[in-house]
Formats: sequence, C-alpha cells, structure tokens
Amino acid sequence: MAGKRRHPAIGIDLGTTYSCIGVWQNDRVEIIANDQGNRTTPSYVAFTGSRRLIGDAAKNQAEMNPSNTIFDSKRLIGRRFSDASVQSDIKHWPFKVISGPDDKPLIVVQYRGVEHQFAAEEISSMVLVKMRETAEAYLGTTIRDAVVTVPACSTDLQRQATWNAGVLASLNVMRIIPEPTAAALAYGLDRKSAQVQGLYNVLVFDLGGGTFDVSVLDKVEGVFEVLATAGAAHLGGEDFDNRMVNHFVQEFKRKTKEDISGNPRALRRLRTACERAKRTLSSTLEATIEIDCLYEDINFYSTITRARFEELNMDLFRKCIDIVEDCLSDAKMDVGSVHDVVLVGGSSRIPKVQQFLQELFNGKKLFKSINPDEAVAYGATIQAAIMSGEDEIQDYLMNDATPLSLGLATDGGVMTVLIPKNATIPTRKEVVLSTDSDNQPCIRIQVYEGEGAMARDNNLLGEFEFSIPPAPKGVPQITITFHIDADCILDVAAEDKTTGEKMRKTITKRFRLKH
Amino acid sequence: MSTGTMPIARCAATVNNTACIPGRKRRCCNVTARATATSSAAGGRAPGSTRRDYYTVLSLEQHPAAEDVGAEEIKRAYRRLALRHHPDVCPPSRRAESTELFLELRRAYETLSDPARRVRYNADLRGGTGGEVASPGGVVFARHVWESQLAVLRAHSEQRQRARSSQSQPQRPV
Repeated sequence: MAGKRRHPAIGIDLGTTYSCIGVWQNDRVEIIANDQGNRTTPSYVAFTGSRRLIGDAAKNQAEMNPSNTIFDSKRLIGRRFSDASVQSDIKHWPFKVISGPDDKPLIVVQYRGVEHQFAAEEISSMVLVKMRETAEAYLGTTIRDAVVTVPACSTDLQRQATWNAGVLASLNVMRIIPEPTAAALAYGLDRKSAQVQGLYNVLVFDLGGGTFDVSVLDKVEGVFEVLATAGAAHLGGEDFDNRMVNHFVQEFKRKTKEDISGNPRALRRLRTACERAKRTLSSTLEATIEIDCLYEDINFYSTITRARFEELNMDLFRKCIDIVEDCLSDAKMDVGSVHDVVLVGGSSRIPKVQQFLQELFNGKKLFKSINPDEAVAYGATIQAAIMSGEDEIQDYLMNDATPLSLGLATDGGVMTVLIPKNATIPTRKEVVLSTDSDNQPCIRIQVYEGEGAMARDNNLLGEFEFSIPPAPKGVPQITITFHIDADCILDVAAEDKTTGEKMRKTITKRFRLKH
Repeated sequence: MSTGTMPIARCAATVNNTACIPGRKRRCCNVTARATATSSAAGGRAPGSTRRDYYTVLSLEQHPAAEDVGAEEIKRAYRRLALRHHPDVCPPSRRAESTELFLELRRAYETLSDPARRVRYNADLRGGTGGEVASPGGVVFARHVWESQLAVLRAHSEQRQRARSSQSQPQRPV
C-alpha cells in the first residue's frame, strides 16, 4: 500500500545513552536500523583531526579519543552550568565543559585542529541529524515531521531546548512527549487486539541509561490520561556501571598498587568492559572482565557474579521501587488496581529490578512484549501518526499532562499555583491579583515552574510588568490567565477588568522554523 | 449501558468524520483564542446562561435522571468526546476552535467528576433551592453517588482542590 503522504512522520526516542527511531508504515510502527544494522544508535558525537563521527562510529573510538568524544549531552540540555547536577556530572566526564553566556554550559572540543565550543542542544541536534538521515536512507525520501521524546520530569527549559535541537536538525518537531507516555501508547496499541473494556490502568517503569521515570496512566474509550509521574533525573544504567567501575578500580589497586581513577583512557576502557559485563549478567550468573594493557602494560583479568553486581547496586534498585510506590500514592492507586506493568529502557532487564517490581505487584507478570529499548520510539511514532491523521489510528489519543506545577510569585514570594502538576493539557486557569501598597504603579508578573512552596525554589520561566492606574492597596482586580496549548506552550495574559487594559506574553524560547 | 449521542456540533465539519482526517499536519502559530473564560472555582452556571449545561456538554442530558449518572459514565463520556475534539485529532484550520471545545469538555468533566462541585452545580441548575428540600430518599441516593465518586476520583479531586484553593481569593504579587 502506497503511503498517503509524501513525507511520512517519524518518532524519535532521543535517549541519554542511546537513541531510536520509528516510522508509521504499512499500518504499523517500523523501528529503523542504522547503517550498522543496529536498531538503537549511541547518542555519541566525536570530533577528530579530520572529521566528525556520530553514533556507533563515535562510540567505537571513544577509548582512543576520550576528551573529544561527547556523550550524555542530554544531561546538559536546558540546564545551567551552576546547577549542582551539572557540576557533579562534569567530574565524571572526560570532555571539557565550561560556562558560557547566561550560565549556559558549553562543551569544548578540538576539531580539525581548532578549538570549538558547542551547546548541548547542538550536540543533540547532531544525533538527531544522524537519526533523520537513517530514516531518510530507509524510506528513500525527505523527512521533516517528527515527534521527539523527553524524560517525564523534564523542565520547560529542557523541553524547549530539545525542541530547538530538533529545529537545528532541520526537523519540524510536531510534539515533545514524555517517554513513559510514549511507551504507554505503544502498549495501548499493542493490546488493541486484546480489547480491554472500560478502565485500563497501566504503570510504566522506564529505567534507561541515564534517567528513571515512572508514570501511572489510565485509558478509557481509547484516550490515555496521565494520573501521576515520578522519577529521578540521575538514576539508570550508567549509575550501575559507575558502581562496577569503582569496584574494579579498587580491585586493581589492591592487586597492583596502581590507582587508575585519574586516567581517562583506562577508565573509558574499564567502563566499556563493565557495561558489557552488566548486560551479560542479565542472562548469566557470572561475567568476566578482560582488558589487555589496562594501565602501563598491566593486564587486568577478573570476574564478577550477578550477586555481587546486585550487592553493589542494591540501594539504587530499592530507590527505584520507592519511587514506584510514591507514584502510585500520588495517583491514589493501590497495586491491585494496576492492570499492566510495562517495562521500558534497557536497564529494566536487570533481573533483580524485575524481581523487586514483581514482588511489589504481588507476582504480576511484567509486560515486555515490545523491546524495552524500542518502546519509547514506538510510542512516539504512534503519536506522530495520530497527529498526521493516519486512518488506522484514529481511535487513539493521548491527553498529555503538565510535568511540573505552574504559578506566580505572590505576596512575600509565595508560589501560588495556577496549574498543578499532572493537569491535562490543553488547559486554562485564572487567578485574580491585587496590590499590596497604595498607588502601586504596576504589578510584576513572575511565572514560575516547580513544586517548591516558595517561588525562589522553583524555575523562573518569564516575567513582565503590567501598568495599572493609582488606587488604594487591595482595590485593583487584575485577572491573570495561564493558557497552555496542546504543544505545551504557555501563554500568560493580564487584564484589568476596570480599565480594560490587557497584556500578553508567550513563555517560549523555541526557535522558529523557517518554511 | 448508555448510548451517548453526539452533541449538536459547533464545528459543522466535525459532524462529518472525514473532516477530522487532515492531510499534512502543520503547527499553528501561537495564536490563542480568548473566550470569556471564568474561574473554574465558580463551578456551575446560572440555568439562564446561553452556554450549554455540563450534562449537555458531555452528551448526558438524554440519560434518564442525568444528575444521578455514575462517575464511570461521566469519565467515559468525557473521553469519548475528547477523542473527537482534541486539537491533535482535528484539522489544523480548526485548531483554535477545537482547543476551546476541549477546554469546555474539560471544565464540564472536572466539575461533574468532583462530588462536592457536582452537588453545588446541580443545586445551581435547579435554581438553588432544590438541595435544601431533598427528600430522605434523595439524600440516601445522593450519598451513594458521593461514595462511588469518592472511591474512584480522589486523586482528581485533590489535584483540583489544590488548584481551586489557589484561586479562591486575590493574592498580592511581590
């Protein structure tokens, strides 16, 4: 069957460690393999004396070129250099990160013999270009429209920066959607043949390379809604790898009296071996580490058992389960009400993680019929198909939700929430403000995002001043309206009902794609 | 089981399902249609208002004893109509209109699915005096409605209560 549209829409899972791409074709989702035949592509970009490498090629040469091989750009996107999490991450990265204008982190590399500085969204855009070219090669046509995913706990800045990365990659980003929601869409469609009548509650457990997300959603009449979301921005496969790396650094020190913790090349090779061993341990009880000439002609051979790996990471696994319980609590749901538990992300394959999850849900079978590495891209592709008006998918809809509360700074710096976390979008809410001193010439509208009770503990998204005629304090009645459209763009309007004066501001830093 | 009927559509195009199957999807500009929005804390509307009551919005007005329809049916009705009116499934040219329709569906659903707000809304609908003279049988039935709604919708209720409390009185900006 020939496609109805000349340029099909795609779904992209832009992951911290790996990315994945799907296209709606022949009335279903096709996950596209890259030029190496892999269905996931490392989110790596490398710069050498002669060229730039992206994906498998970049990751494969990381050991030889650690300071110019960039990964984890997703951890920098939409963040400030001075963020505590950024400062902590920088200590672990072999590449250099400096502070740019407006406290924006910039990655420094040597490329063709010259120093270059890149923003995180520029690096992510290079990964997206690779994904787009992969899709174009597969389909034999130009790709423009795409749905791109972000972690569920992303801030507005992070979502906007991800959008901008898509624009830089010459994509028309149709929508930015949360990863667990995408996965729920994937399974919702997969379960279409097994028609679930009435209410269907699903918990998505998304443990990837870098981030951990849990979402509870329900589906009624084909419409998904997010009930609650929880997660950790820094919990995933890389953290488990770190524990193994630290373990073997100590073992190497005991055996050889040499400390390799300050040697980027040795650490890179050790990390690669640990990641491979971790994967092996999901299916066997023991794995070996064999690295020739790890440090100054010293070979390193060792083994690790699954039990030891679990012991090293037990506190992290338990933290995942605690977050699941928090999410269920937020959704006011007990474990017995959940119809399906969906596993997403490569690290959800870890046997101990699955065991803990099954125990929590009283032995319920965990859903993994879709490859956990591909479920997010699968769902993003479905969303792209829905928004493209594909015939076969008109019975499905995802009502997205706000990831964090939105509100205003009011009297004394208190955060007054207008739109709570997990509110269905599009949405519109109003609040009436007044003044706190006589003859105040204007009121300052400061829009914040976050869960802190005080505005200063949250993210300032934007601000403007609204002029008003002189009046005694408490008398003016200024209506503030927050409107979030289906694309999650916030529009803030102020209106003085007595004078009819109005003012509006769209809170966005998105690049405008030129057509 | 109730067979909900399609309401008289504000967009004529949405009556014809093929109109909801657009060609290439293009993002609209950031133009937001401004209806005369009211605070959701207000809940119900005067019966004389030209706007449809929330039972009609959710296509529940044909249901026998509409005011006693259960929480599950309200949720199903809302989701069924959301599937038709969400901006994602309507033609780009009707994005602003579909957004307004969706917002209205959402307001109706949020009001009728919150037990306390629904009771106030029903009272307003009856002219404000009905609640006070409810018969003992009615009271018993109302409690049953309350209990079934509470069991299913506590999560929604608390989220909305939080949002509503932030709107209940003017706040002074810094």
